[in-house]
Amino acid sequence: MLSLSKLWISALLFCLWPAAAQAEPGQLKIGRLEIGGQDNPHPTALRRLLWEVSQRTSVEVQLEPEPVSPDSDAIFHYPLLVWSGSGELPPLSEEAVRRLRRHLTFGGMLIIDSAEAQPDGPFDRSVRRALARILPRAELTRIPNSHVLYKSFYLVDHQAGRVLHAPYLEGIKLEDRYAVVYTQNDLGGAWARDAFGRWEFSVSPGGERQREMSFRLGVNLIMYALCLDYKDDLVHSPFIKRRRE
Amino acid sequence: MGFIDTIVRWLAPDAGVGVFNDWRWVLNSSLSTGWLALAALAVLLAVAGGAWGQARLPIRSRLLLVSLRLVAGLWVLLLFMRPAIELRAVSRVRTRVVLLVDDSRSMELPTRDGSRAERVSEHIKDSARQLSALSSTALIEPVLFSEHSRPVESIPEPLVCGGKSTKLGRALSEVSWQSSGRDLAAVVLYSDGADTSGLTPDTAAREAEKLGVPIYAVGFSDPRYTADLAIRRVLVDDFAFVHNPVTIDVEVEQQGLGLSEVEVTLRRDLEPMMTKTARFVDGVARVSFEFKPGRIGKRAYQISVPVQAGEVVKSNNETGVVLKVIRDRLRVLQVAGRPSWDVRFLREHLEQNPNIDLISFFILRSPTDLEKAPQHEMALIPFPVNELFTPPEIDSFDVVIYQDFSYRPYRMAHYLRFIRDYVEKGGALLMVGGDQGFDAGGYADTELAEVLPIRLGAHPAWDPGEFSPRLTEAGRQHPITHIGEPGEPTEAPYQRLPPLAGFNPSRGLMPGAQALLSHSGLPGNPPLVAIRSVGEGRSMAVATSSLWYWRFRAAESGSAGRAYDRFWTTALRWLVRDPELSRVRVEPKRSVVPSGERIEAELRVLGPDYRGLKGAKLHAELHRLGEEADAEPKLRTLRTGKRGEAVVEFERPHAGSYQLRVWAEHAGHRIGETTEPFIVEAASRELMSPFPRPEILRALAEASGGAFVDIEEPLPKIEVKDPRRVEVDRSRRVPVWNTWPPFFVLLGLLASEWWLRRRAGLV
Repeated sequence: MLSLSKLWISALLFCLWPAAAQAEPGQLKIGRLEIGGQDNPHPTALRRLLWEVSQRTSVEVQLEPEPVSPDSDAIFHYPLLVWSGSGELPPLSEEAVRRLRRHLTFGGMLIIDSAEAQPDGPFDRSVRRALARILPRAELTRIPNSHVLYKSFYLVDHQAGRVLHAPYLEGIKLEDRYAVVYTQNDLGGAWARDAFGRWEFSVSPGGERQREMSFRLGVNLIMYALCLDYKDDLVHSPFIKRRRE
Repeated sequence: MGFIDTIVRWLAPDAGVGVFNDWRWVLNSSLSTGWLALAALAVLLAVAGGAWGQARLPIRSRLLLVSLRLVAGLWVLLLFMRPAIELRAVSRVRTRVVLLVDDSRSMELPTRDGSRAERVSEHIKDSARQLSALSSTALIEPVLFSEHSRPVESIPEPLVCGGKSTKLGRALSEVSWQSSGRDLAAVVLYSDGADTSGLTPDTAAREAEKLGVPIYAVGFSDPRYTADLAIRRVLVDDFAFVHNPVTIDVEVEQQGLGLSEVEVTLRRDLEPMMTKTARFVDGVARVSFEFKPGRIGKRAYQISVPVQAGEVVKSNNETGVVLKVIRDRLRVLQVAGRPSWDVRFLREHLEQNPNIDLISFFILRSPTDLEKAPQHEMALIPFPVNELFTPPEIDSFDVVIYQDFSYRPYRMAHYLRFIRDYVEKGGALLMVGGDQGFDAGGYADTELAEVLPIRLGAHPAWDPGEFSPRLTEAGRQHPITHIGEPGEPTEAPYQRLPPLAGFNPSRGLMPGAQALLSHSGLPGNPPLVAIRSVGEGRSMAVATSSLWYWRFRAAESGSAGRAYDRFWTTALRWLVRDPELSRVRVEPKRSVVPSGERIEAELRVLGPDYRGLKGAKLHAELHRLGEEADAEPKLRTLRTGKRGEAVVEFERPHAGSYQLRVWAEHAGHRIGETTEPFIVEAASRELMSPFPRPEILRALAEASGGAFVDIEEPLPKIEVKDPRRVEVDRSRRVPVWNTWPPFFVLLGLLASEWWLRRRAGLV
């Protein structure tokens, strides 16, 4: 009987698998970069963020991010890539550098989240080294608080994350858009939940309000990837100005 | 004469007395300037040498000695230049008086007693004695003029007046240099002064001053006999910007009718647009029509005033202009049902085009989404449905894009008819698919579905599967789907672009629509990209939300996304009827054709690569607007030459507004079609302004020192100055430098100086 039920379950899963695997073409799918080293420090974080995006916004999402190697052409299936990690990372291959450069230049976006929350730590150094190779002519600079990224869905006035080591986001601008956004405050740590639905980490110093702000910043990052400077259009200005006053 | 005879007898006794009647000094020297300068230097040295050692003499004596030396030196210099006397036999040339007579069509108009031309003929006959009296000092040259001046043997009797315009200034300029070596002494001008080249009293005065001889003008100063109402002038810029105000200024003139006001009507393609009342001040009424053209391209506008009883010319109560409307910036409204990559890449493409003014509305949160923050902590704004989708706001957009957008959650059902009307009136609608577009968005059986290029009502409404697009026959010829590199076959880029995913099936095409790309994997190959002209506007359907693959995923295979950019750039241009996109082009010689002249235009047919297409078959059909439906249009069939060119002509069409429709075929395929408006004027330019202009004739006469008289008065006294010009029949040069008298003068000067020096003890 036991083997029969296993068979039934297997058959059911087999039938369901293609439907589950085939994402809707209009859905947002995020590619999670597999660089090597500790490149997936919070495995549940992105899924949780995407679930919140699906609940709070009209964006249709595929909940599971797709792991993708920068050495593979598959990165061109995901205009939005997320690279999180901690510790020293192995250097990128020349092919990976070339592909990532092409990805970002032709409209892609890369969100980098440092889980080690240690300014000038090994991950930070690895990231800066890699970016200097991917986009050698561009510079990682602080994103001003007035940037549209802070109002692409929520009006966000403060930085967020599991910790608040860096009171700013950094980014690399290509033409008029930020193709790379880098946070050192471990956003993923604030989003991650365990299998029982409990938050994996406490956030400090702001507590649960800071966690909510982390989700809001995550939603804004995704909205920015999909809408760019839409909220800078003139039609939005009077409303946003009034709410910020 | 006695002096001349004495000189001749002395210097040239063989010439005979009376042969020469004039003389003048000439120099026969062939010395170069350098030699003359050297000689002058020698004279100066001689003068300076003479002045040496005179310091003890009184100043008067010194001056006298130096002067004598200087005069002697200059005399020598003069003799070096070999002076001579030229004896001449000369005669005076008679001047000319031009009898300049206007034979333009307006001279056929009536006066109290016969036509203007008849009155002129009579006046010339009556003035014959006075004119022939001038013949002793001047030659009378008869000249007729209208567009140009034409010398004639004599003024014809009767005077036939058929000139299509009156160019008074040009005629005066031409008679000033049309001479046979004789000076112009005066102009006797017979005209009604109804100049058609824009001459005013001020410019006429300047023309007369330039001529430099008196003008004696005979004209018609009594306005009573030309009762008429005429559109004198229509002022409008050559082009206007779409959706921006444009003004047509109209000037109406009347004489002899006693009107205080008149109604002026503006029509577009014969459809009345507006009527305004214009009040007359000093016989002229002005009115301005301001409107905003709604679409680009050329349109014919007609301006008319009602015909009054007793008008001498009725055809000048109507005229027209052809206005070219161009685009300032394209105003595009992009409405998206949710943020997605397809939405983002299209927005990015539109934003990068500096000629596009983009207004985007994305639904960031649907009514079913959770609200986890208070309103004031969110950057969301209400969706201004009423403001966007009702006239006149909707009409201000050149293109409306519905991208993966369903109207249902926003209670927009009753706004869909405004979008249908907007398209039918000349707007452009682009619907891009997704799981909220077309049937999936609930558009079947709505007013909006009536203007789409694809027929809705398909099941299922959304197919998420992957597929490769297939180029249709129409797509091979259409610029929208010509997205490859220059010179590349149309189908080539589709073989290397990544497959698409997600499709909005349909039940085929609406009437008049064309499929450019179709789904290759479904039965019947339903349309993927389809276009349609609806009423005055256009619509386009893109039944997928994955076209962004051509922009971003194509980067994987090394493409820079140019195919994606070309597709959307051309699609937008097609939607707004960009004339530059048409492969059949018409370049008219004149859009407003004067009465009695032919309609003429150069046609060009271009291949898919936009180079001239040789051997294409062209059909040109001229249709007169307002003509009965069963009236036969004029049709011409032509073949294009090497560069895809051809010329079409239609001889002397009747007055009215015309539409020239041109379509082309090549190798069994229809290439395209275009239209061009023409206006054939009812009145010739000459009769548009038939009123006599005595003020112009008066200005000419006064500025030139002549006189103006009415046709009822006799010709004034014509004063002709003595001729200045002489003709030399014979001449002879007699040298003087080698005769005795100059030698004795030199000897006298030198002897005088010697004597004075000796007296002063210097010798």
